[in-house]
Amino acid sequence: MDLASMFLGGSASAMTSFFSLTFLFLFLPPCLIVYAAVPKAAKKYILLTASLIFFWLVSSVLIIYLFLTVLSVFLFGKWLDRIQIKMKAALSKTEKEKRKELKQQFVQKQRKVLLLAVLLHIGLLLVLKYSGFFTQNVNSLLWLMNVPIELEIPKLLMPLGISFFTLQAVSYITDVYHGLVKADKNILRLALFMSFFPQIVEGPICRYSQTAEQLWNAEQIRYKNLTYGLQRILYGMMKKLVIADRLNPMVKAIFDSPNNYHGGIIFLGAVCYTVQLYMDFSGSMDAVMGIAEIFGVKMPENFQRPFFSISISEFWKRWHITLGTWFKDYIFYPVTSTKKMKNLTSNARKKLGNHYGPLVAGGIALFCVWFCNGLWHGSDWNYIFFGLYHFVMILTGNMVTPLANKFFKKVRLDPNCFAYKVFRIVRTSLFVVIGELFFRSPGMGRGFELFGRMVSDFSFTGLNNVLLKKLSVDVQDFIIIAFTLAVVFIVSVLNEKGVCIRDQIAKRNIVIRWCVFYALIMFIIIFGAYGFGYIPVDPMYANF
Amino acid sequence: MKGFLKGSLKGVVFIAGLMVLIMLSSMILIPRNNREEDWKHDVQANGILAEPENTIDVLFLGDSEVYSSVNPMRIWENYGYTAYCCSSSKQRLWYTIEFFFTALKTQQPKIVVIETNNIFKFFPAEETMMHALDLFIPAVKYHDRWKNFKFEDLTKPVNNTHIENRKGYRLYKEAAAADVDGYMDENKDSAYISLTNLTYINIIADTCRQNGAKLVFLSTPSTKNWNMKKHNRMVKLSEELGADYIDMNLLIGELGIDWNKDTRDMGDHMNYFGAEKVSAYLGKYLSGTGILTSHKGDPKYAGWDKALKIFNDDANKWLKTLTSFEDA
Repeated sequence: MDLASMFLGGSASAMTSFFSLTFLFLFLPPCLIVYAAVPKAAKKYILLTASLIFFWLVSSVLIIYLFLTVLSVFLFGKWLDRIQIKMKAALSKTEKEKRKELKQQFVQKQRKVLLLAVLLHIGLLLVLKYSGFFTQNVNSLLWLMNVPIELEIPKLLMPLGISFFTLQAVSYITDVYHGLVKADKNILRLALFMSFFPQIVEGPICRYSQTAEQLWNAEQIRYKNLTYGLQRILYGMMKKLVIADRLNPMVKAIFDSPNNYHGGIIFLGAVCYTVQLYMDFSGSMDAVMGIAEIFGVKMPENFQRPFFSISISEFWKRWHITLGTWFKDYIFYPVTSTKKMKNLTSNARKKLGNHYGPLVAGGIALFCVWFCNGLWHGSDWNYIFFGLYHFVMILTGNMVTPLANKFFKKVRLDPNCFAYKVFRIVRTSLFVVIGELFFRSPGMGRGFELFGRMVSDFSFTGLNNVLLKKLSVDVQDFIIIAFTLAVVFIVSVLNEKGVCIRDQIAKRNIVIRWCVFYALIMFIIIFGAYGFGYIPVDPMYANF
Repeated sequence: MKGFLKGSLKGVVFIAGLMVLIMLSSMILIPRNNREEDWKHDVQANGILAEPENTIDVLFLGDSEVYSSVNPMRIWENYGYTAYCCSSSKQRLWYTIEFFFTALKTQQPKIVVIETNNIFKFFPAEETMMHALDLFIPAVKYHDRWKNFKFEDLTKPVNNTHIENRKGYRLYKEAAAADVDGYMDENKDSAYISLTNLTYINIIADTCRQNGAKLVFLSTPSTKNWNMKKHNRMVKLSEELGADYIDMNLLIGELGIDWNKDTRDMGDHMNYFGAEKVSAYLGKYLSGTGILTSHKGDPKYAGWDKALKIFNDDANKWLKTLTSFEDA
């Protein structure tokens, strides 16, 4: 057993869940106490130390990856900065007519540095995360070609949150390249931005401009931040422990042996998995936001009530927002803004018109985004299919929109009427559920098999108490899940209308405020799916 | 300073209020009886709660090795000693110690036997903390009991009435031959026992000493779980604690264990036939200690004779269905 594991009696892996007792009772309270006790100037160092300890406890010696990433990003940033300074100096000394050419030389140089940095970091991620998948596919290809060679599948250990901190690293370097942020001269500030412990497990994927300064100028814990933060953590805990973890045995049973069930039950499993994933991930995000809020740090939101979306495109603007915007800013825009793509757009615009013309180049960029999105989620074909499924859905949506609008005009139907909006929400949710069916399936073939059964054998025959027992759930579980979902729905509707529930609670007198806290805590204690008879469920997005 | 004091006071009052709520919900949720339908966990092991006070001579503690190998009915039948298996599946030492102290509330066992398999099982701090919460906050341990909560429970006192006729033993009929390759091969090394586990064992040993109970370590036959490294460590530990140590894995011949017929799952656990042999040996050992006296004929223990009859009837009915020994 390594030193990091011994320190927590082997509980280190439990730390990845912000709702584990190890995190809530052993890690977080000492952090808060020490943070509150030290003077303001030392607070940032406490946050950095806590973040590194957290990373070390979970990933042990693999923390070296984090150190190397921080060091590399720091040096690349400085390199770009130096080129920019030199460029400014050189441009000021150069005659006006020669400036463009000279600037181009420096830009080329910067591009090379950026390319090197991106290749290095994304390359490391690809090697660690995808070399097994790649080798497996090469072996399959060799087998198909009757070549008697089988390559050994590498098993590499991945540090905690590499998919998240690598994207942060790339965004920082790219932003420095674009001059959106200045290269950080303080490696510790950069290290804190990259490793801040609440966000390292499941994100959000922050930009340097969003959190680096906030973290470095960490403030004293304020009463409002503490209570607001705790409320958000409890709300997330309710989503995870009462809904997501309670659904887990049923989802697991259906997806582990789908052959035992009719299509209707598989559909039910896919719906439950979608709910589970949302409650698990958004619940963990609530905890991340809540913890950061206690330290006075405002992190970018990762969810904005995605199941109120009226299209898949909108859904992905509300679900895992920071990943979506990362892909938009660092893949979609760079692809569409290349010279070739611009030419393609202008040519297509002439031939296909103003709506369909830009869709050609946009479609290519969109394909790149969704291919990467699928691959980012996991190294298997079902994840790639998951990405491409959304690509097709979004592209189809874009193509169909003008035709649909024409149709509505013709039949004099108001596309903004409530009933149609509800229909679109349900339709979007259904498409999401189908996507998640492939996402959860062990392999793409299995995904198609499940989808086929769902369509061809759609029946709820046999859905009775005996089956529920087999699925490790009972009617009471569904009642409590439905009740809690209703609570989440009401909160979501209010949030959608711009009502901040926590502000509303804060306006009430102490009795009501405390009653809300007590009710939430007791609700989680009594109705949470933990302890005897339950298997703890690791945060689902920590694996991506 | 005034603000800090005010804030601290608020915090204390808030936590006190929360404690009251948790205590109240614990009182509501705690099972009113030791039956499965009352949401009691591990009912076989918790059957000890309904045994009349000070009627258990020997307390067996441990994981599935215990309830698969030790049959208190046979010990009663042959020697008139009362034994109880407070064992549960994958029992960790934190659970062992909980059963130990629960049993001590109503019983004064003269001999406490700890099966050694779980002494080597490592468990993370997360589990220890969960157990601590379970132990001190019944609302956490029995939180799921809302599913079968009845309003009449509010006025009902806790009354454990469910007596387990098999006294924690579980009869397994299956047989699957074990592979004995490398089993108990010579090895001079010692296995590692975690500090937490050692602490738990020391607490049990100290309590036994204070209560005048004899502590015995027992390693039941298991090709999958036992080896010489663990044996060596247990020899050392039992010497340190002044406890007896029986390693049945070195007494396979004497016990007459047949690894083709006496195990239910390829050497992991004993089945009925293996348990018969283990229990026969244990009865002899217990008798040899000279600590225990037979309760046969004592009207206070009439329930044990009834339980034995029920057990034998069940076992014989099943045994008769076997056309040959190989059917087992």
